[in-house]
Amino acid sequence: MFLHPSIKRVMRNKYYLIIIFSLLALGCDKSINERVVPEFEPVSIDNTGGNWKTVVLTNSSEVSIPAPDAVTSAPYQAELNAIVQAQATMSETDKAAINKWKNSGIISWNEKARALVAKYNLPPEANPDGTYPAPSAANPGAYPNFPFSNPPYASRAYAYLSVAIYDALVSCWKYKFQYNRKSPAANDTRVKSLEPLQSDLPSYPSEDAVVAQVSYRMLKVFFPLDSVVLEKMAIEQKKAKQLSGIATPTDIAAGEFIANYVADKAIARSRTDGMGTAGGNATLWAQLESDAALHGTTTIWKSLETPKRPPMLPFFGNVKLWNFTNVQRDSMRPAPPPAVGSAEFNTALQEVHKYTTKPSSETWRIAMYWADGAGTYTPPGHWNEIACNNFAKYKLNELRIARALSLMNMAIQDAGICCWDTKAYYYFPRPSQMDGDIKTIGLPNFPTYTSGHSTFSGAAATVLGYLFPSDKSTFDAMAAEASVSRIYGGIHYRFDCEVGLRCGKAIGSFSVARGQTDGSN
Amino acid sequence: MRKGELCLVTDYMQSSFTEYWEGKRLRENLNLGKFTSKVIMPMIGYGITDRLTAFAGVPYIDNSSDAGTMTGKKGWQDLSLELKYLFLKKENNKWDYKIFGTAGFSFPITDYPPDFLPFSIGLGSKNLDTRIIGHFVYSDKWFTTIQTGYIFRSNITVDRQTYYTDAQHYSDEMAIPNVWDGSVKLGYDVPRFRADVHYNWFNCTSGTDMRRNDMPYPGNEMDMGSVGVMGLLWIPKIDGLAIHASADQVIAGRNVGKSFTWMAGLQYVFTPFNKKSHAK
Repeated sequence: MFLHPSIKRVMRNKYYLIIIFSLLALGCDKSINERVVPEFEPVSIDNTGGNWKTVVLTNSSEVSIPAPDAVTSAPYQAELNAIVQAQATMSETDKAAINKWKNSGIISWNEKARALVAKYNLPPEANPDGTYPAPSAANPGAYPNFPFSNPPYASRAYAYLSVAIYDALVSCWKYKFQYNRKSPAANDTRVKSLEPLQSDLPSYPSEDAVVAQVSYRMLKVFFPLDSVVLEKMAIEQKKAKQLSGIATPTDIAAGEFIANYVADKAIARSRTDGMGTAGGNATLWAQLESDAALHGTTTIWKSLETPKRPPMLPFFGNVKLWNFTNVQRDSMRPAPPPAVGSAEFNTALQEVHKYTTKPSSETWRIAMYWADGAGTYTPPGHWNEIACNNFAKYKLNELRIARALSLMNMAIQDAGICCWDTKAYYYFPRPSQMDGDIKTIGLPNFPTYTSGHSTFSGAAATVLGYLFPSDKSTFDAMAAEASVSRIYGGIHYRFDCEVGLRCGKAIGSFSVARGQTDGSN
Repeated sequence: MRKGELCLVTDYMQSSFTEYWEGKRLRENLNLGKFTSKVIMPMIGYGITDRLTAFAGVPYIDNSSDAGTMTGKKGWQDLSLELKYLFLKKENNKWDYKIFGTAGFSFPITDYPPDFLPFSIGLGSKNLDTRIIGHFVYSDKWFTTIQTGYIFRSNITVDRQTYYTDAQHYSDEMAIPNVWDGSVKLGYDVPRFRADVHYNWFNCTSGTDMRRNDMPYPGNEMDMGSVGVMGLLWIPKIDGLAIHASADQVIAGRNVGKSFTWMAGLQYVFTPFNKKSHAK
């Protein structure tokens, strides 16, 4: 092939080649750096955990678990022999599964829940006739797929998952320390321990089986189209623990029994908690508009989407609360926002206008950092991620992680319920509705007062600040920034955010009170 | 270009769409309405030798739409620097040809946010663009230009820390797909004017699709094919000054708008520096 002398000259000069190859490296590596929760070993076992107060169970003995076979018994020895055999014939897939599940199982399932929320968090596209289709639990695969996992739906999913895991683990802990049968690897030197073993944590019933089975049962109710994947994940976790020397099949079976009992109770509550009617209908939405006028709102919220979209779950405020009653919800409902046209209102509107017409890269960054909008794991999911990072930092055991997630997610769902109740009560218009120049990071399709982000974040930060007192100021700063990010994004007035944050903190204190009296201290 | 020649160009472009491909599905979105991108692009070219030309250009982009509540974005985008080298040529025959190779590098010159598509003015990546161009002229008038290239694009960092594509990513880093692109032109080039019809293609070599009713993001697989026309008219009496214009329509695509783009601009080619001695 003919090469021009000038090309030959270039190729002889190695510096050109170094430059070219480093530039090529720019575009060849498409891998990205991802955050992972670091591996950790729990620093405590909480042998009195079985006495802690439960949420849906009356107490930890509500489920009956019989005494296991003795370690010296023939059936148990047969189980040990089978594990020794299985360990000798393990495949690479088995080893990978053990490695995958050696960190906290609850955190892994929490991550799975977040991924499912993100996957299904897409608003339905309008029909050609201008109406909007709704997901149907009876026909989940039809468009739009069931569910539309928006922030209220997500908060409820995280809460039910976390509460069920917690109650089941409290029951599990009771029987662990009642019967004190240890892991196979602790009972027999022939069984290898293929992951770090907490040798003083009894394995009957298996906490991994509890977590796997509860998570599978709860998440398939909320995300039915992923049932098969969820089941495979649960089976993989249980199998990994049997291969790694942590649990025997009867340990697993006992854990599954507790899990199914608790899941049945939690699911029964979910069927009658009012979520089924949270969407409302045209008659009820019209009623909300006229009621809002009675509650002091002079300019009623309107959808700014084309075609006009019904408000998102306007009756989520009537869903059953975890930590207090509807009467208390009503007493905590904030006073009306500043009247449209008042000096205070105009100041707040002008502030939104200022941030949106000339955003700085810092206000834009903060708005994007906390946006957690459509297609994401939602603000409740963001706080679940923050919580899980702290569990790793302080090396909590599975029972304590479960308690933390249960307390935090109950507070977060209660926050969502109270916030949506307030939004429906006042039906207050968004800044963009009052000033057409206000353009946004993406405007949610429901009324403005109060801010969901602010309420969720105030509740979550309050609970996490109680659980991790040395990090309280960090959580409070995060909540404050998440709250104000909505002004920067052009979608809330400052009074939406300040009042929402205050409400969230009050709501969070109910979970704190639960935590202070649940017997864990 | 010849040694010592300087070319100054300023183009104005306007590109709009009302329909876009969400993955492979063409749709409109009444919450977006008509999306418009306005671009002013100054460029400069300089003939370093008779074979080697250097180019630089940087666009100012203003993106907005006429419906919905999402904010538009505008600003200076990426600086492109390019070297174009004439490897081979054959002249004074019925069929003349020139074969060029180009290598270019571009990078953002302002801190614009790339992760707010479709309004983001760019994807924020550093790009290495390599290209080969074949220009074939028949009878000193008719021509065809065929070019193809590969663009290496770096990863970018965005403001959000977690995002879902076809899986959950706990990262503020996004992978931007590389591109294989090119064009075929057929035209007529005489001393007074030049005109061509052309087909362009642009294909990402990786990336994910937008999900239904989801927003786009920088790592989408963006593909498009477009057809267009171009005309250039040399201004009589002012040596080296020309006006040019073009119109292009995207006819096939994936994760992009079905845009119509028109462009109009001025170019001025002159030799600013004194020649010491003429070619031997």
